[in-house]
Amino acid sequence: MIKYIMRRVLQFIPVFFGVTLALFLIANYMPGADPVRMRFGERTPSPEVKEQLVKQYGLDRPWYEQYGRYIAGLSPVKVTDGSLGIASPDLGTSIYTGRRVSAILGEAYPYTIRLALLAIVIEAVFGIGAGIISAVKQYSFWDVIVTLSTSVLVSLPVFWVGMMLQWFFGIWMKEATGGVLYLPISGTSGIFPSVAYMILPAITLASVSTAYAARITRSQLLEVMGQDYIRTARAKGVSERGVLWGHALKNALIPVVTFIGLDLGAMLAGAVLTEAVFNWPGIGFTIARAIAQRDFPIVFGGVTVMLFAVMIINLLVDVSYALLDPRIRYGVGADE
Amino acid sequence: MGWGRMSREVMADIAEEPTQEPTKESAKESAEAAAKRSRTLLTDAWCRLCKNRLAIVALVWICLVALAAITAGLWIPANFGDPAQIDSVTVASQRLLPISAKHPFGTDDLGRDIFGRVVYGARVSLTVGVLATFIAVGIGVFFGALAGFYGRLIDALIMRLTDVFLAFPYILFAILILAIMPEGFRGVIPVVLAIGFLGWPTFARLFRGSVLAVKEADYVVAGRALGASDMRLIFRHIAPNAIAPVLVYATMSIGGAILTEAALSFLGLGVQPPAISWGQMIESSRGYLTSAPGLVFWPGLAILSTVLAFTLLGDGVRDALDVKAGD
Repeated sequence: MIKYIMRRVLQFIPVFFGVTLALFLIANYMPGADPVRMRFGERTPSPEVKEQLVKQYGLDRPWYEQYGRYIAGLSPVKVTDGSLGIASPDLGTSIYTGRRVSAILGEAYPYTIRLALLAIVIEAVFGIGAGIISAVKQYSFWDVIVTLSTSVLVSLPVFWVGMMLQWFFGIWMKEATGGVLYLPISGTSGIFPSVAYMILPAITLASVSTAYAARITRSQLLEVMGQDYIRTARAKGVSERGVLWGHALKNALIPVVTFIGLDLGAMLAGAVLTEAVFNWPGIGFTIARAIAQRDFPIVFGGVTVMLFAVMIINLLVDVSYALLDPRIRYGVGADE
Repeated sequence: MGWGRMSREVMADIAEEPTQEPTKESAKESAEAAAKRSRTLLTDAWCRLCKNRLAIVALVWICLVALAAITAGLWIPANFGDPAQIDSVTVASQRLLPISAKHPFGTDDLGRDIFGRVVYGARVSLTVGVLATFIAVGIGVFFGALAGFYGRLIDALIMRLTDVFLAFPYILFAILILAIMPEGFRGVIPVVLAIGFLGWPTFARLFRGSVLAVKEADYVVAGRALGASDMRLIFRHIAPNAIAPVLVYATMSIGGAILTEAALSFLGLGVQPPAISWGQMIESSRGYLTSAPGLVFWPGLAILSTVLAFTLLGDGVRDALDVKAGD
């Protein structure tokens, strides 16, 4: 077990360096990328100012030295003072507001987490539920409905779903709902704002993932139901219900749970679109607004934070997967 | 959300569907196929595809959209007005008209016909979808062939590289790359490059998997014994028998690329006006959701129907080519 976790953590290291190197190269060496311009947004710095900044941030140094500083800047210990602003521990300063990017993101992330958690609940309940129904009643009317609607769901543009839900519940059915599902959350405060405001954004965020969860549940359950131990259970007289709940689901749901865990990461990306549509003040919305304002430090810092969150979530899911399923730990299906 | 998130599920998806299919029909088909030995694998697959009604409807719809997009210049401006034109007369008199015979989807906030704009928008969407997928397939098949054929260090390096790419919802990387582009460098080409460049790892993995599966086959060994070069072995002998999963996933990822383009344009990072794209039409109509929901509805329906068509066609191609093993 410990060996497995060690191996996973070790595999994490090249991914970490790969991702940081990619971010570093994108910010500094992409055609069109200009670290100095990125700190000025729409204004153009004078040549003297530019030269001074290049010196100050060490942009005239060779790339490996700059990358070293960037990595050092990510560590909790502040090693250097002259690191490139966007790569320092506090992620630099917003061009637009002059505030620390880390402070801006710190205010935003509780909203994103809240939304993602509700979306995960929706995904788990409806995805697994629909998957079970369509697997148990394979080729029935309900199976066809579930299969077709998952195809539709994965083909939907997330932001359009959000706007159509806003229109349907907020405008078309305004009388019936009293506008409670549509109002922006600006009027609420505190740790638990009214859940009603979260429902539509959470459904939007969960829409695509729910379809995938349903598909995976269906195919896993069908596969498990065909295995010998299920036949044995039936042969000794266990009822169909007992077979499903007592024997089949336990094994069928392991990959589904993993998928849903990994999906938390994917939801962070979906959050950019969902939060932009609903003006939900999380990290995604902050990034979308920063794109419009050409506020590069926020875009860069926000995406970096998201990428690291995804990376850590993936690692945790992998490890807990091994805890759940002994087959993985003992290397039966070990890494390809 | 784009194919970044699709990739890992679709790979599982391509590999799944274990208990389905061996129905009476397919048994009969294989009997027929055996009867006519002269037919190739592709014509066989085509015959099976033709029997899948959903896939055929999807294919017809894609052809219709493509045809409309290609010929748009011939009939849209004459019947529905120039979709990009803005002048004070039309803005004043034609603004936000309801659905009518002259304007099947109504007009937008600047008096332009929405139907015409949706048809023009198909040009960008299909171009991005197809070109980005071509780039991704090209890079992916190249690296996948290298990794699968040569193995060892090259394989390990390329696979770790795909790990890095696949570890993330890649739309985040696309946002990053496009956001730091200078102002003048926006539009179709950067979007195609970003989506294509970020989409290759899944193809590399799929192709590597199939190369590994057929690499040791007798006919490849025979080819090598006869002195065929590595390139000839890969492209003449291995590729034709290893391409099926790539083909299936490519069909689906055209839809994924269209979704990603729409999302990027919605965020203001994609196609810029006066060029027309479905995502950008939705973005610019956000303020009219209350008064004129059609402005948002029609482009979105166009995205949904086109992407759905590619998804269903991909499902059909998968069944027709009988792809079972994915990665």
